[in-house]
Amino acid sequence: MSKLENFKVARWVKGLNRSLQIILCLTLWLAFNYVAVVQFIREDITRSDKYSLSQETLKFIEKIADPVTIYVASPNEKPTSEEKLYLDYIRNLLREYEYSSRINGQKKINVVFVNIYQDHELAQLLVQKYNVDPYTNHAIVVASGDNYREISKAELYKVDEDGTQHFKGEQVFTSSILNVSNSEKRKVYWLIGHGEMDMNDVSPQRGLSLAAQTLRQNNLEQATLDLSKSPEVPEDADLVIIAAPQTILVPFEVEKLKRYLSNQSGRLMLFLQPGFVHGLDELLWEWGILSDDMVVVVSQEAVNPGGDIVIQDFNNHSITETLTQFGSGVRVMTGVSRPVREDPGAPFDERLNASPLMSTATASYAERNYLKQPFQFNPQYDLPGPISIGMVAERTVDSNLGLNIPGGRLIVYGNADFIANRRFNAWGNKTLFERSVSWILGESNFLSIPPQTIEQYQLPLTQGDLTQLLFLLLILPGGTIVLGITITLLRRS
Amino acid sequence: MRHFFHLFLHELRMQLISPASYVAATIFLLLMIFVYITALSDASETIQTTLLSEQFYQIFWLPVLFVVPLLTMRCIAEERRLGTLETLMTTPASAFEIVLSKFLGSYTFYIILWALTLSFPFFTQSVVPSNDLMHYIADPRALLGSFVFIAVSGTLYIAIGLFASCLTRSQLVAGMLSFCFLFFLIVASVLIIKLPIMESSVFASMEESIDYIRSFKHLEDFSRGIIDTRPFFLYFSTAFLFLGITTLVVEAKV
Repeated sequence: MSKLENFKVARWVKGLNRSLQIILCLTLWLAFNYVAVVQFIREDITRSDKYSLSQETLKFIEKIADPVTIYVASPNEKPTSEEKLYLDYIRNLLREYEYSSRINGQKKINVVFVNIYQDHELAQLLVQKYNVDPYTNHAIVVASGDNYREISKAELYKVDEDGTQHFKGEQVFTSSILNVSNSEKRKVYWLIGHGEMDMNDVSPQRGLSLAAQTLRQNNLEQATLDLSKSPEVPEDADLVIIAAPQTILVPFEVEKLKRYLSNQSGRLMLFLQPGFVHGLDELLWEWGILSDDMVVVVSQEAVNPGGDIVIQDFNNHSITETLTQFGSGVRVMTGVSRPVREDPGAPFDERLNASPLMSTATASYAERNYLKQPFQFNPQYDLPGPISIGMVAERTVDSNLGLNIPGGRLIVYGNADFIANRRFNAWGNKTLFERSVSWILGESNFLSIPPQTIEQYQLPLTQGDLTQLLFLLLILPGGTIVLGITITLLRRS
Repeated sequence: MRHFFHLFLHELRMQLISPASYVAATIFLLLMIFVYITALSDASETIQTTLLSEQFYQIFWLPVLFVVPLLTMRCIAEERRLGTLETLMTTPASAFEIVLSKFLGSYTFYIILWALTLSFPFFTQSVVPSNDLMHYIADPRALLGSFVFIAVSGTLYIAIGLFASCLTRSQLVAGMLSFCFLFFLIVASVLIIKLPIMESSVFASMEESIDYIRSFKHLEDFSRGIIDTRPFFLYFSTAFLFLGITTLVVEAKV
């Protein structure tokens, strides 16, 4: 008998054959699934494409060079059902970001969920490297290399007057990702030489260290600018800030600024203060703004116990949108201001668009004779309230293509102490500053991803309706039972 | 493969005339009606943000856990016990054709059962006052997505049920085995995330793989209308794997 005819050997061979078959099947299955994990497609077929990212975002994500990591810290306390909803939205949105950033199997965007109680290392990283306040509930940080940006929950959603909620996640995340992965940092120059507030000063009254820190956190490089020495405003200046000059700016300095604004599409932020001559009146006039040499006097109701003037009247503009979206609103605390309003005598220029940002209450007025106490409203010299104390002006450059390319941009505030260290972290101050910088640098019209409406519904069904429906639905199992019995009986017979 | 077609029709007929199938169908429908009415009543009491169909299909695992064993337990176990399996094996039909026909017979019945739940929104339409609200109750794309998930994952579940059935002579043991396998499959993918060892960096690299097998994640995506190709590959390939193993076992044990 040959080997193969031997029964024992045959059985053994057959057994081996079968085991090999099983192993081969398993390895085939593993390989198949491995390929599937790496190569896949995701498609959103819902009516509003509500779970997919917009075309803009996808284009931007393609251009990311260095990897971006998004840290999402778990909430400190048990989330409310509303918070859970947002968490869900955030999670789903970030999942889509991760998927769309896959190039050749490598993800450019990594989302890391940090459990602050368990992932000590990561939690430490968040606090130390990314300056997250340890008491923040549910912090989100977008980071790439050394650049990072913290996203606050309030930025992510807005509530309309009628209560409809909108989720702005995509806009915020995309702009943050762009912000941190943009290796070309934008540069902000603080003007010096006239006793301006100092970016390195940590003193509460005139220090701007907190404002400077915010700019750093928004990935902006900063330097000082002395126009008496430098021939022109530097070419790399993306923004020039003049914070409360105490001596007058000489004409040739003002000329340089004017040229910067008009010829270099410059951006300038002015924080003026009452009682000081600044020398910028001509420049302001060219931009349709007038800052009278007056002091805004407010009624006692607008002053809080700490002596700060509370501003809660904001005009509609993308800068103040965050402040007004929450209905009764976030307020800005300031010291004494001077008026900054539309210049009634400015020349008409159709390319110029000047609008107010914020004003004091109606029960206020601007006093011309501020050196003489007590203050009293004199209709001949003084301005009746409400007084505008912040203005924004923009010139668009005409283009043959009909596009409106922004030319220069100018923001003027009538007081500088709302960004001083003492008041910076209060209420709406920091938000107003950040939003002003963001707008003036053009970040807000750069991306216009519409917010996603959170659809909510409630069915108006009564108990009666439900009972009726129940009976209707019971037809199905009823029918099944009848069918079953019929068939059984038929089989029996 | 022409034998296959005859076998398949035979299996289908057997399913339809067996009283056990009707028992399974009735229990299934009663359960799903209960879930549906509860979901509707919830939606009437509080403001909802997720679609009703999403909430409804999230309970898919419950009927799966008892319907699949009920449908598949007698497929092979019964035949083995009665001795008809050996007879079947002597016919020109190959073991694979036999297994495939049983699989498709049970699978068709499974799909018919789930398809009956698609009729719920039609009944609801007669009760709900406006057609706008119907979007939240029965958005066709979301429904389609959920149903696709049920159909695709069903292939795997039925295949597992069949596999359990081929391992033993007793229907009851087959039923219990398939229940255990399914339970492990569906629930483990949820629990594995919660294990403390997941925190260690070794598992971090496996995260994508774990993600890949999480049924609930697939359901979430599908029921919201996001079609992802990975679950298709996962379920079909694994179903095929199990059918293959079942064939081997049937051949070996006869």
